[in-house]
Amino acid sequence: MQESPLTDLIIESKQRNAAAFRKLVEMHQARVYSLAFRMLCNEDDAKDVVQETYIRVWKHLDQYKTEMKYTTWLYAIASHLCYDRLKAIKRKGNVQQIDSENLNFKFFLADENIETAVINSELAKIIMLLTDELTPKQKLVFTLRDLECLEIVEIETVTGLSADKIKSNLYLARQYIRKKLEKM
Amino acid sequence: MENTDKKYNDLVNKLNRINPQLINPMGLTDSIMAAIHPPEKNTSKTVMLWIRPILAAASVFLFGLFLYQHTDENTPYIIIAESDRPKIGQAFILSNCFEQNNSEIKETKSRMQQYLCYMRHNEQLNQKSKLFLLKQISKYQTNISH
Repeated sequence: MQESPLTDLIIESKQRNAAAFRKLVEMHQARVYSLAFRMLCNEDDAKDVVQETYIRVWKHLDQYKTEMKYTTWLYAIASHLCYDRLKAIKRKGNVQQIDSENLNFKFFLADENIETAVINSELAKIIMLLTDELTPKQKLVFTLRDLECLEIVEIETVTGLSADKIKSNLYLARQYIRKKLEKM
Repeated sequence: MENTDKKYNDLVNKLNRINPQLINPMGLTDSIMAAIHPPEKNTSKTVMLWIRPILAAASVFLFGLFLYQHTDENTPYIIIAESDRPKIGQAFILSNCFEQNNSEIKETKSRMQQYLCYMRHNEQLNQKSKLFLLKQISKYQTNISH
């Protein structure tokens, strides 16, 4: 069951109330940005995805049914956009090369209060270093399950993949990251 | 193996705890709102505000001028009068000017009718001469063959 303020905002936004939609954007944009940033490892790309996500939300809000959790629906739109963008990046071969020697990865693992110290660029480099050779599907599943902590059932709804496919992709992604960690 | 698992879990936990910092969230919200609602040009609204009364005043003035010119004694005026055979829903506009134009039109019409008569007459003559020539040619050809 959704909280009533959120439901009210959705209903008002469906009636093309821009002020209500603005509140709706403010409510979840950080989460969408977080997903996009972890997937794409680039601030500008992540912001573009957030913008594109909310444009789609605005356009298709009348198709949204309250049986589905709003955040799941939002994640579904954002993750599809991230997946498409990631595929395009891989196809063009524009994958950013990370120099692991310059990156103080051991410091990152050792520091307990790391969250206050790490800035976006460092975080992007760490994620990139660990996931650079994952397929877009593996990266999507890994990000949703291990970084965004979504349940498998929710990932099924978000990605449209079956539970078996999610598990197999997740297994491969984890294996790859473990191997990377062994080498470090 | 266990060491790697621990490393992996630590790493995932840390990555989980560190949320990417969204710099200038208001700016992002503004850009989203601008994308879904492009700002309307206020100039068009203000222009419309003063153009409408001006156009209304101008149209009233022109209509008044038109009426004034057509009620002048020296110029031919328009009257709506009943015709000899009035029909429902039909009005006949008569004026000096129209009467003058009518006579010119009638003259042109009669000339055109005359011209058409001549045209038809010429066409008939041409047809006859064509038939005559064809007959002559056929006769001439039969004579040659014999």
